[in-house]
Amino acid sequence: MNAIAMEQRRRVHGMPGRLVAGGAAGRLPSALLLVALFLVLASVGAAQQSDIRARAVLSSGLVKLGGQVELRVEVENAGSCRILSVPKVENMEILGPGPAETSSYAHRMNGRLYRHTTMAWTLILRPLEAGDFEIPALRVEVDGEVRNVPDEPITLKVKKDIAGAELGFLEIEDVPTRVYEGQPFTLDLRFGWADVLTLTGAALYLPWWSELPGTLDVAKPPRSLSQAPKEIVVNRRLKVLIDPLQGEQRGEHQFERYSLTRRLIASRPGELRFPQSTFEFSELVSRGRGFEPDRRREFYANLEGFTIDVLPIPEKDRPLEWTGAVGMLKADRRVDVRDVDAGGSLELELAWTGEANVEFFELPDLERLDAFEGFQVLGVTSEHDALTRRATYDLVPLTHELTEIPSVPLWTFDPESERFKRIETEPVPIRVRPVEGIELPSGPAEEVFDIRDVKSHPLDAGSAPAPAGKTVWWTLLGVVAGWFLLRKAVRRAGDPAAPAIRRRRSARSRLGRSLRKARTAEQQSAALATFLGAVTGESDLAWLGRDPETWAAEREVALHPELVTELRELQGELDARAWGAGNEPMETRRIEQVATKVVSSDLLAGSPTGSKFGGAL
Amino acid sequence: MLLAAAAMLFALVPSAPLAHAQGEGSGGSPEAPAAGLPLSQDAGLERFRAGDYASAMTVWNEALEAAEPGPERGRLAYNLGNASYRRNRFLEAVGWYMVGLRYLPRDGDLFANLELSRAEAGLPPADGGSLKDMAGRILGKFTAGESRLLALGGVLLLALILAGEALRGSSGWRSASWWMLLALPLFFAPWVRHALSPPDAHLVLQSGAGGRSEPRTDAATLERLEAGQILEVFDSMPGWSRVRLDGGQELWVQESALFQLER
Repeated sequence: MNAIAMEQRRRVHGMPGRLVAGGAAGRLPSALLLVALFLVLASVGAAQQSDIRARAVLSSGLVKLGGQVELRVEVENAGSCRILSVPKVENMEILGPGPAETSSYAHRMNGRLYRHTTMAWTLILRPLEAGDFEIPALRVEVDGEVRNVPDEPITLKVKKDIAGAELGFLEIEDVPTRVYEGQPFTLDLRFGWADVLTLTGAALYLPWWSELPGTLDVAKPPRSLSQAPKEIVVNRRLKVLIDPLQGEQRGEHQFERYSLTRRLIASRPGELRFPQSTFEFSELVSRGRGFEPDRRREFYANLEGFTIDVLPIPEKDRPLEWTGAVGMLKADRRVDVRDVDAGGSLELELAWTGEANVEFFELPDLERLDAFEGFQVLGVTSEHDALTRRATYDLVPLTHELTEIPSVPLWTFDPESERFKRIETEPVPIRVRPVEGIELPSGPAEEVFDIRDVKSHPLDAGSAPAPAGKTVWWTLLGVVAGWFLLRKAVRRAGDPAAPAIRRRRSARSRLGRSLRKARTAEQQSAALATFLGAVTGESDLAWLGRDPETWAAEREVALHPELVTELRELQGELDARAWGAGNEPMETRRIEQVATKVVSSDLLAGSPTGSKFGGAL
Repeated sequence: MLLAAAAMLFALVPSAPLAHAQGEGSGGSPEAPAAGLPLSQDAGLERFRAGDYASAMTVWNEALEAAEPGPERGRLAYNLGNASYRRNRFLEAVGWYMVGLRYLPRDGDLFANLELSRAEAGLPPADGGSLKDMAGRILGKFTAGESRLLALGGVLLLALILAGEALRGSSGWRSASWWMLLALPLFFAPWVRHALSPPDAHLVLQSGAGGRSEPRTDAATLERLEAGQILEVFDSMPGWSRVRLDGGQELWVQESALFQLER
């Protein structure tokens, strides 16, 4: 939107793409002219090239038989362009195209140079009979590529007699003849019909409705209406809302009136063309019978075409602080609190109201204003409607010496006076209370680096005793060798991971767990038998009822007599308790003591699965 | 074997703490009474506080030469780095801090000052955030002695696991043995890093210092050295050091252009 400057504009009729040197230039030395031409072309060549666009617009969607309409074909931003063929339409004479018309201009937007070039041709359409015509697309070669222009067929209505000027009207209210880029303007079409008519239909033919390049639709200010908006068909395709207006006496008749408004902003310099517009309305003459259609009488009201020149914002006297505001604005301000602690926050709401491009200009940056040095700007939010832009700044007063929120300036370009104007808000008196013990930021925090201070306390002078490198390597070697020897020695007596060995190894701990779970002497007896079976490498039941001494004699195992006695007594007592009255369990400690002696007595020294490492269990 | 390994471990692990000031950012300042400070150190601190950085450096330099290898040397090198920094001799400060890190590798103050000095000297950061830098920093958190102790610890842990495997032989012990063998390089990595560093490393202080073919000022300059380069000195004569470049080229450099990192 911030189209800044139109740097070059030229229009050449008859010879597309040719430059024409003016009289003054003709007097310059040719070498200088060539250099200047080169610089101009180089700068333009380096500029940003916009998208290629093509369109075709009729000068009117309705014509009286015997009259003619113009079909204007425009191609934007093409390097080379020509019309390959003109369509043939039955009962219509098409003349042309005439010579190409070329216009170009360049402008800067956000620091970038944009170049726009438009080539246009005009064709004359003369209908030979009444009716509805569809004009097919033209074949146009654009930069070597063939295109159909426009995308959809154009409709043209031809009537033998166009009546209605006295029973209907189509007008436009106060349309400007020129605007500045960025300046909003409103197209307010007014149309209506005499209330003596029994209206059966109404439509608008606005050939320019969708063909306004370089414009942006913006919000319209709300209008107070006594009736709800209605719809009307535009260009046979679109339905748009229209506002009912108060009736009006025109001549002999009272007229119903409606308004169709559109608010636009021109985004670039140039000319906006609005071909002839037509309001069509019809009255029922008689109802048809059977399949016969109703008879209607149609009326037409025309609005002659018009143009709006879009001017660039002048460079002269343009302040550096101008942020793109165009229009008549007035500024207002409001704060949520006026009595605030230093370091606290307050909201400053600024509102700029008026017929201006409120949606598009950049807000003042308070952090860059010297007057706001005593404030920290935490953030800003913005909203807008058709005529007002509101900005809410979150401010923190940094010192209690502040007495007011300073005025906020905004530069705007006033299209009426054609000058830049500075508008300011009124200062807002405030009171800032000092707060003890709070250090306020004095501005944007800067990251400061410095080295950490020297170490003043001595550390232990000696270093940690550490092994020599050789020690580590020799240890590693010794570990590997030791593991190898140990492994070999252990496996000489059998694999320590064999199931029988592992069972025997865990026999003692399993006995402990079984005894803790045992609730009867019988269970204790079974646990002891399982333990002994694991130790001797036999089944869990092998030691039930077995005499240890007999077993030792049979296996030629040398058992300590005391251990044999203790084991025999233990088995006897357990059997007596199990088979006697009560089946009461005995104290587990005694069983565990005997089991410990069994494990440490090398009981298995002579057993088939015995190991001399049995004591390590 | 278990008993032997345990006995060896206890014999090698020091009863006293390994080193003071090894906690990250701790600054390594045990609560020692100031009254017990040696005179020379007090004098260095006083002169530093008075802004006489050159005199402070002289005092601390003497103390450094007298100190046993260990944390105290790291502290003195740190202070010397601060004094060099205050004298705007940033590359020299980098050198001192690198010396300090050899003795206090986990000292956060040292590393922070090193990075700041490198930035002031126009050198890239020691830890640029890459994976390689991060690995280097982790491996560099051990002194040479600690790295050997760590390796020995790994060996003893391996001994413990292998003993279990030999005595029990279960699959669990076997798996543990394999895992420990795989993990053993991690225990050795800091030591390997120390072992691979140049034995007599020097830091180039002068950008563009000439690497000459012979130890004479009129000898041909074969190479221009960059400030911040670390080179191995393998020969010397008064006023000159013979360095070896990364490509193996051997050149003579004036001693004044180099800063010795082995102190």
